[in-house]
Amino acid sequence: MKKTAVKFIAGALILCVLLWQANRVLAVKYDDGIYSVAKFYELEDNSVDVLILGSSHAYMSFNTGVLWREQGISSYLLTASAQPLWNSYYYLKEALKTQTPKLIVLEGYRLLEEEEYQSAGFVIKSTYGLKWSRNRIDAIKASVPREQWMGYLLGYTQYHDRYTELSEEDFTSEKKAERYRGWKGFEMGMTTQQMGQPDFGTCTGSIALMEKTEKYYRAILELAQEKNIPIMVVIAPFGGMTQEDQKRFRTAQAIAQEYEVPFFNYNFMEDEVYIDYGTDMYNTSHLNGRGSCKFTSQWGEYIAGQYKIPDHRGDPAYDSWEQDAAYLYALLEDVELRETADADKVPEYLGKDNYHVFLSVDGYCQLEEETVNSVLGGLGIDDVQGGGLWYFAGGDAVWNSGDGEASRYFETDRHDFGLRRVQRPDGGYDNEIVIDNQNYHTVENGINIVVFDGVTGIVADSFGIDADNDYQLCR
Amino acid sequence: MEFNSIDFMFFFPIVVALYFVIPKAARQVWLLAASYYFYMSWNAKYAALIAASTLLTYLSGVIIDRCKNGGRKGRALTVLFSCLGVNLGILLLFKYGNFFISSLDKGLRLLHIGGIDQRFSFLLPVGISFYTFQALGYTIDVYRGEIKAERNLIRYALFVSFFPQLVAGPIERSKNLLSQMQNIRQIKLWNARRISSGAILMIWGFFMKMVIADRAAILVNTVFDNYHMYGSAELILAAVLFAVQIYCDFGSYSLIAIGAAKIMGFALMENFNTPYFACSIRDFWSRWHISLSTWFRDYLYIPLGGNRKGRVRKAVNIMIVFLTSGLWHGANWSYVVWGGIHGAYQVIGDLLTLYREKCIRRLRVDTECFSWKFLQAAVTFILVVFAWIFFRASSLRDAFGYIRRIWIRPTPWKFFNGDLYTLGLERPEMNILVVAICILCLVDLIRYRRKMTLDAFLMTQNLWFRWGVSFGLVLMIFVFGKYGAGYDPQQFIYFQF
Repeated sequence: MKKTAVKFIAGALILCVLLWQANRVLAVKYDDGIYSVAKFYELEDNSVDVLILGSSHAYMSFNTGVLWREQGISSYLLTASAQPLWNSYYYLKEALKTQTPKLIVLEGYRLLEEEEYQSAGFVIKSTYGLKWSRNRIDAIKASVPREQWMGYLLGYTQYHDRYTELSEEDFTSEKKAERYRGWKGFEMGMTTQQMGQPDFGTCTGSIALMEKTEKYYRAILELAQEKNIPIMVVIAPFGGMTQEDQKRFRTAQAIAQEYEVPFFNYNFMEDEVYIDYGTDMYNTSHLNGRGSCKFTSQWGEYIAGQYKIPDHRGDPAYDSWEQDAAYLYALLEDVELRETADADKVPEYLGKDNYHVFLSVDGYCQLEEETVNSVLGGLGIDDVQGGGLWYFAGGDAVWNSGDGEASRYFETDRHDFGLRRVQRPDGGYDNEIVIDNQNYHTVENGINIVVFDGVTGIVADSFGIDADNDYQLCR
Repeated sequence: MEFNSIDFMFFFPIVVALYFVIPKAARQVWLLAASYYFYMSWNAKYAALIAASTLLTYLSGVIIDRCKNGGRKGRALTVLFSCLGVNLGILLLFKYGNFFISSLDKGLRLLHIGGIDQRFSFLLPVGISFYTFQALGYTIDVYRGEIKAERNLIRYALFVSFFPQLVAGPIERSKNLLSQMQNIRQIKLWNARRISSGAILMIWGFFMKMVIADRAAILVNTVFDNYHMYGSAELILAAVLFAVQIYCDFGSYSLIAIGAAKIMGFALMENFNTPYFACSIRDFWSRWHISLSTWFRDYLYIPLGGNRKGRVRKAVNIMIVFLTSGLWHGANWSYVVWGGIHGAYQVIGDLLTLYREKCIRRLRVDTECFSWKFLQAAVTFILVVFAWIFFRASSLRDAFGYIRRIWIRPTPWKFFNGDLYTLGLERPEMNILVVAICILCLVDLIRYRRKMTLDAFLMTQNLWFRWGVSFGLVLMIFVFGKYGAGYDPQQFIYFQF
C-alpha cells in the first residue's frame, strides 16, 4: 500500500512537471500586454514614479526614453493592446501592490469602448500577464461572459495550440533580444504613414459612455484618490477622431472634473504640441517614433513642472531606465538612417560607434563616380579592384576579403554574421553578407551596404548604391 | 456534459472521490444522482423521459417475473409486448417522428396528393437509442428467464442511467452490469492496478477523440460539406479519414466509458476490437460496435429465425437486421442505405462463398499467409469506407453525388502537389495526424496480434515504459488535442443516435 502510494505520488509529480513545462513553453508571451507586465513585476518596489495605463495609444505615444533623458522621470507603461478600462483598473490594482507612483496617467482612448466583451486575443493580452491573484481572476471575470469564465481561467485551453508558432523566446526563461534589456513598455512606430492635417471640427453636446466603461473609469479615478496618488487623464494625438468621439470625451472630461482630475485631449492642443500628420504618424491611430518624441517632450515638461517627481538621472539604481533610453534613441537613429534617401548623406551615419557596417562591391562599379567615391572614401577604402567584402565596427576597419581570407564569420552573444566571397564557375565572385541566417543583397552591380546596430540588435538598414541606376541609393 | 469538456474534468474526479469515501450503503444512490446530473446537463427536461422509461421497464420486469412464476405466460408476453411497444413508441416519436412525416410528405408530393407541413418541434434526447435498447434488453432477458427481475428500483435506475455508458454505450446487458451493481458493496475500490488500467483506457480514449478524431474531422467536414468543389484525391482522402474519424470518435467514447467504469469498479463489455483489421464484413461486425451487433443478434436476428430456416430466410433476416441497424443509427434514408449496403455485402458474400472457394482452389492461392489476410483486410476496408460515404453524407443525393465525383473528376496528381494541405489541415497538422494514426495502428496491432488491450499490454511492461507511454499520451492530448479557444467542439458522433 505504501509502495503504491509513493508510486502514485511520484507519477503525479512527474506528470505535473511535464504539463507545467508544456504550459510554460506554450504560454503566450505577447509584448503588448503580457511580457510588459512580466517586466513590470521585475522592477524594484517603488521605483516607478509615473505609471501609465491604457491601450496601444498609450504605449506608442508616451516615450519612456524621452521622459528619462529630458526629465529624469522613471516611468512605466502598464498597458495592453485595445485594453478596455476594466482591465486597466485591475492592472492598476495589481501595480499598486508594489509601486507607489507620484503620478498615474490614464490614456483615455478606450473611453470610447462600445463593446462589453472583446475578442479572445485582446482578452488574453489584457489578463494573462497578471500573476495568479484575485486581480487576475476578477479581470477575467470582467472580460468575458460568465459561461466562458472557466475556459479563460484555465488559461492553457486558450493557447495550447500555439505549437506551430513556437520560437526561441518560448524556450528561454526571458526574452533575450536587446530591446527587452531595460524595456519599460514603450513600442516605437518605425515607419511613417503620411496623412493630411485632420480637421476635427467642433461640435457641441455629449454622449454617455458605455455603462461598464464608466463604472471602471470612475473606479480607476477613485482608486487613485483613495491611495492619495495624483492621476491625470490624457488623450494622446491620433488621426481619426469623429464628432461622436469628441462627445464621449466631453462626457469623460465632465466625469474627471467631478473628481477634480486633470483631463487633457492633446488633439485639441496644437499650441502645446504641434503634430505634423505628414511625418509624425505611424498610422491613423498612432504616433510614430518622431511623433512620440514631440508629444512626450512637451508633456514631460508639463508634468515635471506640475508634480513633485524626482529626477533620477545618474542614480545607479535607475540604470535600466538609461538602458531603455539608450535603446530608444538608437532606434530613432536607425529610423533616420532608413529614411535617408540621399546617398551623399550616408557616410555621416556609417561611422557611428554602435554601427557594424558590412559592405560589398559587386559586379561593375565606377570608382571615380562621386557617390561611390564619397561612400568608400568615407570608410577609408581605396582599393576595390575586382570587388570584395569589408567589415567596419564603429567606423574602424575590422576585416576585408583582400587580406587573404575569402570568408569570415563573426558572432556576438545573440547574433551571427557571415561574410562569404564565393567563386562562380565563370571565374567571377559572388559576395554574400549573411546576418542571422538572412542574406542581404540589394544591387547586382554597385555597392551593397548592411548596417547592424549593436545597441538595438537589428539590421538598421540595408541598401545599395546601384550602378545600373545612375548610382542612386536604393533599398 | 461531454467527456472532452471542462465540466467533465471536474465532474468525474469529484464523483469518483466521493464514491470512494462515502459509506458503502450510499454508493448506489450517489452514482444514480451523479448519472442524472450528468444526463440533465444536456437538457434537464429529458430526464423525465429516461425516468419514465426506467419506471416502465422496471415495473414490466417485476410483473413479467410474477406472471411467469404464477404460470401466466400469456400475460407475461402481453406485458412484454406492451413494454416494447411503449418504449419503442417513445423512441419512434422522438427520434423518427419527423423523419416519417417528412418521408410521407415527400411521397405524397411526388404523387401530387398534397403534403404535410406539420413537424414535431422537440429535440432528439441524447442517447435515447442506447438506454432504450439497454432497458428493453433487460425486459426481454427477464421474460426469457435469463435473469431475475430487479426489485430494487434505485439499483435498476442506476443500471439504465449509469453515466459512463449512458449516452453512447456500450449497450450493456443486464446479466453483466446489473449483477455487478447488485454487488456494489463488495467492490474493493482502492485497487491500484484496476485504477491505473482504467486511467490508461481513458487516456487512450481521449487521445483517439481529441488528437485523431477531431483533427480528422476538420478535413472531413471541409470536403464532405463542399464535395462539389473537389476531385477524386480529396474525396477519397476524406472518405478514408472519415473511417478513421468515426472509429476514433465512437471507439474513444466506449474506451472512456469502460475506463471510467473500471476506475469505479465496474467492468463494461468491450465495444470495439480492431475493426479495420477485419478479414470480411461479417468479421467487421463482430469487431465494430460489438454491444449493438450482439444486441441485434440476440434480440432480433435469432428470434427471426437466424440461419435456422434456410438460406433465403437467412438472407432476409440479415437484411432486416442491417436495415434496422441503419435506421437505429439515424433518422435518414442514407443511414438505411448504409445498413442495407452492409446487409447486401454479407448476403452477396454468402452467395459467393462456394464460387470463391472454388477459385482459391483452382488458382492455388495460399490462404494461410500474410498476403492473403492483408488482401482480405484491404478489400474489407475498401468496402467499409465505401459504405461510410452514405453514413457521413447529409443525404442520399449527396452520397451519390460524392461517389459520382470520385469517378468523373480524377485528380491523382493532388496526392503529390501539396493541394491536400489546403483542406483545413496544414502541413504541421497533417503531420501530427499521420503520426497519431501510426500510433493508433501500433496499438491496434498489439490488440490484434497479442490479444491485449493497451492497458493490459502496458501492465505487463516495466514501470518506466508504462509511465513513458501514459505521460507521452497525456502530453500529446494537452498539446495537440483539439479543444479550447478557436475550436468548434465536435460532439461525439454517436450522441445523435
